[in-house]
Amino acid sequence: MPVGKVISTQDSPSPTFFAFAIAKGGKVHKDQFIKVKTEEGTMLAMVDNIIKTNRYYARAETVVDAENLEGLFPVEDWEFLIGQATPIGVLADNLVRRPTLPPSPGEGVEEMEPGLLARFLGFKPNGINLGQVIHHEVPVRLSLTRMFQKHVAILAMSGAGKSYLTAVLLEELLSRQQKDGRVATVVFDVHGEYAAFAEKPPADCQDFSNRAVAVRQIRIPAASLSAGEIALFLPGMTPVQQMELNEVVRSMEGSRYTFKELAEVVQGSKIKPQTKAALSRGLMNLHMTGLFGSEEQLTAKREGEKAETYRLRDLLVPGQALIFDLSGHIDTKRKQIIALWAAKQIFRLRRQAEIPPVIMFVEEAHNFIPEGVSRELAPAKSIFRTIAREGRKFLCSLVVISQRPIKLDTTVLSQCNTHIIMRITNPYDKDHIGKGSEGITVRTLNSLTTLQVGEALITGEAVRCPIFMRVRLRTSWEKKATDMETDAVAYENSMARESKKLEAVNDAFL
Amino acid sequence: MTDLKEAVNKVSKRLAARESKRQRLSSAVRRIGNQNFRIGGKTQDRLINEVARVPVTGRFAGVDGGLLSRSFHGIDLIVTRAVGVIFDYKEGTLAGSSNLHADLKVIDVESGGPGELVLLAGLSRMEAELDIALQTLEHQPDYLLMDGPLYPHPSTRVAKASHAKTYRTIIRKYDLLVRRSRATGCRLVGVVEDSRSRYFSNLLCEVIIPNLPPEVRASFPEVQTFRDTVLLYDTLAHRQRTFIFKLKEVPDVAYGKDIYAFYIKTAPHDRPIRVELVTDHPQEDGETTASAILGLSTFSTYGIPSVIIEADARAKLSEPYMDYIERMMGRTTPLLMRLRREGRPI
Repeated sequence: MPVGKVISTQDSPSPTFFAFAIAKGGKVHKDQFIKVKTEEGTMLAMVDNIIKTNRYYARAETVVDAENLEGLFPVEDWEFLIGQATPIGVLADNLVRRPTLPPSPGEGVEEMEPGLLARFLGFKPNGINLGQVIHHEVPVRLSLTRMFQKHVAILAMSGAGKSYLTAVLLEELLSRQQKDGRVATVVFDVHGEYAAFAEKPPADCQDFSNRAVAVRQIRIPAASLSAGEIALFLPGMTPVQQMELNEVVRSMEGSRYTFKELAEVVQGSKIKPQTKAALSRGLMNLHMTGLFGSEEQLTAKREGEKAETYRLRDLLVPGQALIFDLSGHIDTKRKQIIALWAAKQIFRLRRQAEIPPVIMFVEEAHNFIPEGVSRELAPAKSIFRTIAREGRKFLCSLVVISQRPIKLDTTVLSQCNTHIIMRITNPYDKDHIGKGSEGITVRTLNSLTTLQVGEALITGEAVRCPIFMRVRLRTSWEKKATDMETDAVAYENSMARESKKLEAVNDAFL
Repeated sequence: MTDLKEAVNKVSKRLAARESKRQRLSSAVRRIGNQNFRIGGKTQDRLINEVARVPVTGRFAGVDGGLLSRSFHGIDLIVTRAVGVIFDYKEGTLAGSSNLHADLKVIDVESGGPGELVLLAGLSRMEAELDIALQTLEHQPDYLLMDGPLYPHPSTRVAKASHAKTYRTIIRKYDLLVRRSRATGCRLVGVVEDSRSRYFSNLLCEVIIPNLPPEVRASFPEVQTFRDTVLLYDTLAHRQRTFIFKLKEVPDVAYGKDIYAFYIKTAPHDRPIRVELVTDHPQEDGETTASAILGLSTFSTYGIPSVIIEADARAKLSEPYMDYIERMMGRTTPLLMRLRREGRPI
């Protein structure tokens, strides 16, 4: 459907920019895709901006000066919309090429048909359905490989809808058919937001409980950790202590032990007393965290059901999700230890092709993979960095989710070739995203602050050009957090009930 | 550079002297502004009159034409477009509007030189404007405002001999327009901006000053050397008009003896405009028209009535149109080659 005509300005049309007069009644929006014919084929472009003009209001002195401008003139007849568009490709012979010739002034600009847009953006019928392209009736169906193989970053300020989008992604991954390719999914769930996937939902929600396990307790086999990794958990360990510990660990190779048992071995060794005491104390401290044992043990418990224990390997199954519910761990270090161990094991298993291709979601990634923080303070950082660098080859992918992109490790962020960016208002974060995200123009970047909750910009490998989308509705159970008012009323009601009960008891007693 | 400075200084000095004279004359005219004059048989007016500003009500039409011309090696192209706009006002507020657009006309001619091309282009635009004015009249406006005088500009009269057929057609259309407007009760008004005329100055010299006492007469030296709108720039205050005067008989047109005019200052910081009308009741029609014209003006630095502004904006043709037409024609013939002076290599 025609929406306008290309106009000639001082520096346009060009292969990188053109402006067009929008026909009266033509519906064109910022961030909408349009098409126009050129000598090379059909040029596809994105509307970057829309300007309203009116010659009656073009001169400030006229506007201020006129006593009765609106009363005497048909001013609204002169209101015109000018669209400014950035060409993104030329479709010719079923191939998308870089535009090298501009459209002609006077050429008709048309709306983009849904099929053509989907084809141009590289959407797949069996792709990951995240929602709908804004201003188009086109579902965003991203190719699994193009989206995840080179990692994904989901970046947004708090409350913009990151968790909601992540839940939609999980739904998609868990709903895939075998013929379409299913992966194992792992979630490091800091706030326990995705644990509901493993629960029986209310009747109006889709049930994923047979495809998700939420692990709340974990026992890491002490023998699976090297002396170097143990050192990461024990800040202040000297090189000498680490060297001695390494000797002890090597001597125990092949056997199962707890850190308490390892501490006893240290005690019985010929290490210098001072070193021995420090090592034993550290190992005992680790033992006391309750995170370590001789056997690997992941404990999952659904509401109203008995707890079940698993081994990590058993939970990394195609089409299923392993959710590490870390909400019970207040201490950041405990979360780091779990993430380090699990990520390391998963990457190892994947390298050995013992598990299917795997996608790991890291919530609050800036805490696990912070920029400019030492290994001691962020022990999990190194394994995530390794996965970010090498995971592509082994189909071990990361999805890093953060509300503070500027605090996220630059190496990891730069390895994420697909960015899903939601509302961001912090100027430093916005700037950081602009520098690190592919194909983002200044105008697109400025749009980030105006995105509504649930709207996102996808840029990078998964799409041919940056697109704005609206996230689809969840089908899974969303355990909604109560608001402050509701919680306050409930609290006072419960206190009143308690008080009444107490009075009744007192009355009965008297 | 010194020569240039001297030359500019000389001009500046002359301008300053002339401006001083103009201001003195202007004051002198203002001093006699309250006096009544009978000019011709049908008007009885003061030299300077206040105009009542009343909220306009009725249907007002405006007509204007756009024009482009370009000379090529073998031919000349003229492009014209005329537009009629119709505004319906109720108590000073626009209640509705519509437009009539004539098709863009592209005419190829072989003129004898730049002067003839200007003449032919002017005639083409005039004809286009008259055609659209006649169409506009069918929409029964109360006022039809033409951008320019209500007769062919004196400079085009040479066409009477050189392009007799075209000139005759234009005269016929002017006559028809006036006849029809009179028949339908529409006030046909010519709004002349940037006028170079000296109608007012001449009348001042010929009719008014001779009747003044001798000591006052001395205050009006060289009045005729100033154009009317220059002289009247600050003679008239905002919302004032001159007396309504009859133009000297305009040749060729049938209504040449019935054309009346006045100058009116519709914007405080703009020059006055000349308003012409063909009427049998000049005093009454002139006063009503002056009020209406004032009611259609809103800017403080641009005193043209709204319908003319709108018609002008819609009719205007810009150079890219000509470039576009030129591209459409291609350049396979020397006839369409650009003139050398427009394509110097350096």
